[in-house]
Amino acid sequence: MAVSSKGSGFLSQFPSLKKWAYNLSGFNKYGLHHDDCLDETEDVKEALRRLPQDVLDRRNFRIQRALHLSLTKDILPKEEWTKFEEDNKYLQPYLEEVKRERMEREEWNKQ
Amino acid sequence: MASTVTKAPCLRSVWRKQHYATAAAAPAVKSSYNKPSFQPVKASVLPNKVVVAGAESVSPVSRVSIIFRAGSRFENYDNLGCTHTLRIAAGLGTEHFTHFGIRRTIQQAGGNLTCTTGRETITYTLEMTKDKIEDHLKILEEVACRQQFKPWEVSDNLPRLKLELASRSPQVWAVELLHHAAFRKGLGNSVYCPKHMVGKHNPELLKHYVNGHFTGERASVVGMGVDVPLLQNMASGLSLQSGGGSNSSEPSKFYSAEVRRYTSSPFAVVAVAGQAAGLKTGKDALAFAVLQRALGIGPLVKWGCGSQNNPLTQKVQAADPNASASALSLSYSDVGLFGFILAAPAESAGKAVEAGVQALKAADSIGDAELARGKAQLLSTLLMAFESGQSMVEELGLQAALFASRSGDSTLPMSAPSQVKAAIDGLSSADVKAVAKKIASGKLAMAAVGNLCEVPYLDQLK
Repeated sequence: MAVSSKGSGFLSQFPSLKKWAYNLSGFNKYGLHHDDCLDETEDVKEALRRLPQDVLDRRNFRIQRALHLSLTKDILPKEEWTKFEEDNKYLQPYLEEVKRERMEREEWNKQ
Repeated sequence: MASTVTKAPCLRSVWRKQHYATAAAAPAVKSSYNKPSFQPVKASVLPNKVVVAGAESVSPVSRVSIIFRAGSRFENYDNLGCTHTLRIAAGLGTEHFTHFGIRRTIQQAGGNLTCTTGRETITYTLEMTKDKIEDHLKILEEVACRQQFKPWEVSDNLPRLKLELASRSPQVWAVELLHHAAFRKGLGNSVYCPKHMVGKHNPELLKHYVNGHFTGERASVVGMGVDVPLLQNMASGLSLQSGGGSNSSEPSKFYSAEVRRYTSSPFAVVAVAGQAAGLKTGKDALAFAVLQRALGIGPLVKWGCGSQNNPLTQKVQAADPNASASALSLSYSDVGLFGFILAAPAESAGKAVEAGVQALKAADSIGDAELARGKAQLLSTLLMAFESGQSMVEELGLQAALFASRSGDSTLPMSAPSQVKAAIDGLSSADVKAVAKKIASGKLAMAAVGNLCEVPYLDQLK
């Protein structure tokens, strides 16, 4: 279920194409957001640790609900699907910072 | 490192030459180094109201401090302990640097970045070799003025705060409680975070405190071994709030009160003090410092026991040979505390405290020999502070923060050995006896920590 966290340079030139691709990816039918589906790398784990508690609670709820839906071979009713416009990529600012910090660390540790 | 340096052939010859040179020059020692001038230090005021003072130094290590008059006395009930958290949070991520970046850059340059908080001030100090410090002043400025207080970084460092709270000695605790008993608010605030406030200082609260107190009106920059124009340049570029805020805190009032904390220790630590003069009175504060040393501050020789001649030690040890006592003189800008602190086994602590109070009450009949000793000890203590760059920059910083005028250039009152000597020589025995009389006849405040079964209450002290 993991998706690429990169905003693809090519697709971003065509907003409608982006929206079409978003809807096609399918995770929104489970009520998930883009950042709920990231691979839990070390960076993502650290970013999640820094997330405010209320945002983290909402994420955990969405993931629980998606797991339950997956278990019952079901999806949400269409009006509850995550809309492209509503997906705010809540984790990205934290993730960017974590990545910048990691790159700085690697730069310093380089001989 | 040293071995790799001498491996390089060109350096080896230099090293050898130096070696021979020192061997040859050894009989005729030549003092060709530049002696520090030790002139009184001038403080200047910049348009943004920041006070800047700089002194020369022959030390290869330069030091720069940014000082804010924002110590724990400016806290209120809602942000008690804020300055302790600020001290713990020093060096965490800022607007332009990360925590890691700051740490490694300072480390790489062989420097030292510290934050010190007190009741009056918060000080950020950078120590570094002379050739490097100029490039790293930017970091000092960021750490002092552009802190970000990222929530996860602040909470990651809470264990350090808890460790400091847990490892306070009973003596420190007694002095903190003495302040609380004597001043209640303001100066009564502890420099330590109270237990119920641990973890309550969220980033907004810290930011609010910094915005309200790290202002130009309250800031000073001092340096040793750094050009003054460089300091002025840095100080004028500091990112500070312009509003002066309430520059003077409410005047501290002395209360005759007591605080007792019972712990499961076999000892009792008791601090008793009366109201003393503030630093702004100058002469009186110095007289109290002389009186403190005349009464006795414990042995000055390591493992020594030559303090038996001190009036305070004599009286206390006559009551209980296992007790140990030291006179206490704490001076703040507007008011101070003068008294003693003692530690004694629980069974005999009561007698020791009574003897200590008697010594305090008899302070005005102190002998001239004791006063002369007190003056000599104080003079040497203060002059020795000029020897160490660390204590010197701390001293300059405090003076710049508390005494320098914000309206025009001024000279710091105790910034050269000549000033210190003149001030202490100018004290007569009558001056010291006058302040001793005030303590002897004045009311007392008291704080006690430990096993207090025998320790008398304040109203039982005669």
